[in-house]
Amino acid sequence: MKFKIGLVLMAIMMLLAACGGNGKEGSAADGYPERNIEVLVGHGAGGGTDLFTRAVTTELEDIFGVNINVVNQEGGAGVVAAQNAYNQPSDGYTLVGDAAFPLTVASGTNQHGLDDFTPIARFQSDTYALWVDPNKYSSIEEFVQAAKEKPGEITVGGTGSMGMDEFTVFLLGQEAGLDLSFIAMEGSGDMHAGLIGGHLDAMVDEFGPTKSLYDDGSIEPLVVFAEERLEEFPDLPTTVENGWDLTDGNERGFYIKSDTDPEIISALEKAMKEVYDSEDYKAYEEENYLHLREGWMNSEDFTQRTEELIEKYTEVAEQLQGN
Amino acid sequence: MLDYLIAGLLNVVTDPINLLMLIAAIFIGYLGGAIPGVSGTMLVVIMVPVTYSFEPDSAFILLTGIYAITAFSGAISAILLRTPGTPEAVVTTFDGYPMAQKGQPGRALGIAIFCSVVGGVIGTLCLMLISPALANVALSFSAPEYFALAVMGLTVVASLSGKALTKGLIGVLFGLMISTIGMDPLTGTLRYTFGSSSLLSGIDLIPVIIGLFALSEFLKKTTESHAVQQVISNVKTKIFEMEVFNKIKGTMARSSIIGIIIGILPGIGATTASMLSYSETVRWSKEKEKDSYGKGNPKGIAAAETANNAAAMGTLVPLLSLGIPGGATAAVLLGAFVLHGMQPGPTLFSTEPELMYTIFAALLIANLVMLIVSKPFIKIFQKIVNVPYSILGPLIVVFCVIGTYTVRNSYFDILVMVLFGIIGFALEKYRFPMATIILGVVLGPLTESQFRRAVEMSSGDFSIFFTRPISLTLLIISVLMLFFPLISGLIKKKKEQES
Repeated sequence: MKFKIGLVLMAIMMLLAACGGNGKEGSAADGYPERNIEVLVGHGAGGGTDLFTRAVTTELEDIFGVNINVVNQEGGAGVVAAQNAYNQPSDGYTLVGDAAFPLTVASGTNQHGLDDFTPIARFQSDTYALWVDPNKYSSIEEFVQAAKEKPGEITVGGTGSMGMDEFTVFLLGQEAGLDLSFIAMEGSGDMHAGLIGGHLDAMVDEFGPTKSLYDDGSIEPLVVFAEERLEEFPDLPTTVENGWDLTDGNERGFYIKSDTDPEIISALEKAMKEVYDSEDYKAYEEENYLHLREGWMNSEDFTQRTEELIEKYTEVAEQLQGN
Repeated sequence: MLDYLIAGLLNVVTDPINLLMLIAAIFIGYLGGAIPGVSGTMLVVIMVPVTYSFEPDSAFILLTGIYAITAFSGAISAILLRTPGTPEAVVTTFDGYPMAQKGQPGRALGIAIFCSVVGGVIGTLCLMLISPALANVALSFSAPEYFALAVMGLTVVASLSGKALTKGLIGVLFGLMISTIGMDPLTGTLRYTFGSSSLLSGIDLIPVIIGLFALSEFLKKTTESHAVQQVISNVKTKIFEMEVFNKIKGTMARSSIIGIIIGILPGIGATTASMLSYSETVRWSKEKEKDSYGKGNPKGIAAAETANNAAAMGTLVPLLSLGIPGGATAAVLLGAFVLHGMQPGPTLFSTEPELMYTIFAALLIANLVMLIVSKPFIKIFQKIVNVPYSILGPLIVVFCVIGTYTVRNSYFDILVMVLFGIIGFALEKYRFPMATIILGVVLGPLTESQFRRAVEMSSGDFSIFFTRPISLTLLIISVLMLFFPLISGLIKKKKEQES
């Protein structure tokens, strides 16, 4: 008897693990969605893109009245998830949550560009800063000076290789005329520890993940990758002020296969706009310092933006890989 | 501080909702941990959205409780069925399963439970009392130190392979080779992917473990006579036996320390901790005892289970004292803190002491409670083990397949699991030391990426490994350990000649 109970409990757990269960009838026009939706995330659980996807999908579940399962498929900065989504039918029930889509297309690892995927909506345009230990460098001028004196010796950490972090450090070096040594770290954990422990000279990161370290004064931003100074950091100089044309950051949004019914895409776009304007999402943005720049872009604008980014970074990728 | 802890304990035990959360955590932790492929991280990720609307203390009792329990619960199926429920439990199969097969499953489980409790409690106490000091240790480690640590782990291959040193070396190299498949961690170059996008992210650890251990065992069993009676007929769990305790107390002490130190290092984790602790235990054993590892040595179980529980608590140290997530689960917990409007870091102790000590109390209780509640869960498993293998075997295969698939919803991983099942089955026919393959797969990525990261940091100067005190010490120890058997042999010979 107990054996049976055990099995039943296990079966329940399996269901839980798969986040299964039956959804309610769809409420959106033309009956979409009728069943659960799957969102593939190409990055690990707990990371920026994963948390973003989960924050959006919980709200989206309420709007659509179905379950939305977030599946983490790590690998190749999102390429694995994109490939798997491509192999699914174009019925609108498989989406991709991604931050590095233009980069993976530009560097050639992602075979499926804008011909195969359509951007649905952009939620965030995250802002980078260059962070250092305040005891080491007190201003960007000092940092630049140090980097000029010791070309190739100043280490700047970032997460992963051939991702936005590496592109950003590479472009910073080009714009500022510095020879910086980019160190690809495993994740933000060992990168932060590396900077505080004095093993890295600097790192590029966004404001959300660094908040607690900044609050207690162990790290300090030297320059923000933005056109205008941030309201929250009025004393922090920008890259543009320094004459460096560098303002890009991770742009997080959702993608779907291009041959999906356009009505489904616009239903998703509409629901996502509703999420973007919701109070809960705004609160999440503010808690994580994601509100520094306007994030929203609809499908049309985001498609155009992605196209521009792919073009720009294809050139950069060629230079970077040629190094 | 003590009054905070007492208040925390009372908060967990007297508040009905909190108590309910703790019980739920234990339940979910045991069942989830027992199913291969469902790891503690995954359970916590699934539960985070559920806790949105909870009070912070209830939410964190549930989340950290699940985390603490799964550090142990993967060991049950590892010992009884050779199917590690969580990746952390793979090392437990090395000695746990052979001991169970020898007719002592109760003793094996008892050791695993007792050591998990000891490791978990020591880990929690360290987390509570000396977090800031430990966090400083973590900060003094960088790429060269990580590399030296990994080398130290790899040099143990000689002792892990028993008398078959050549096979052991082949095993560890095979493991290291598997770990190089996929996208290069530093430059993004593709290696051994043959144009397949499924191989971009490499071969995941879980399908390898489940294939090599669980599926290969199933294949082996199917070739045996069905008339053979189940060896495990009665699982009577003996949690504490003085005789066993005396044997393993030294191992437990050493493994707790190793577990905590590895645990606090960001990005390494409990699986590596139990692997390193196991290899050190083998290394520190007497020469004649070394052969008994992998055949049911109680110290092997103790090394693995003490270390992975201590490490699980250790990964919370950098999270709570620096705001740096030490591992995947810690990263998810960081997200949960932010959701509840808090930012983990040194300030949290002063701004939210009640919550902090409630979490510590919950961790302590979750760890201690294992002593009591493990028995009923094991009884359920005992019933399962008594099912005829013609039914149980296919069931295990089903769970292996589902478990592998669940990790990242990948059919490809199932193929990998089956392939490694066949490889494992074939290798075992030749008495191949499987532990060495796991050693390579677990330590491979660490060794490679940290070596190259260190060299990049020093702009190509290899002296970085010898000019940093911790790295140098670790490397010297590994070299000494590697040649110690040779040197001691020479000394012995010389002495014999002299006398």
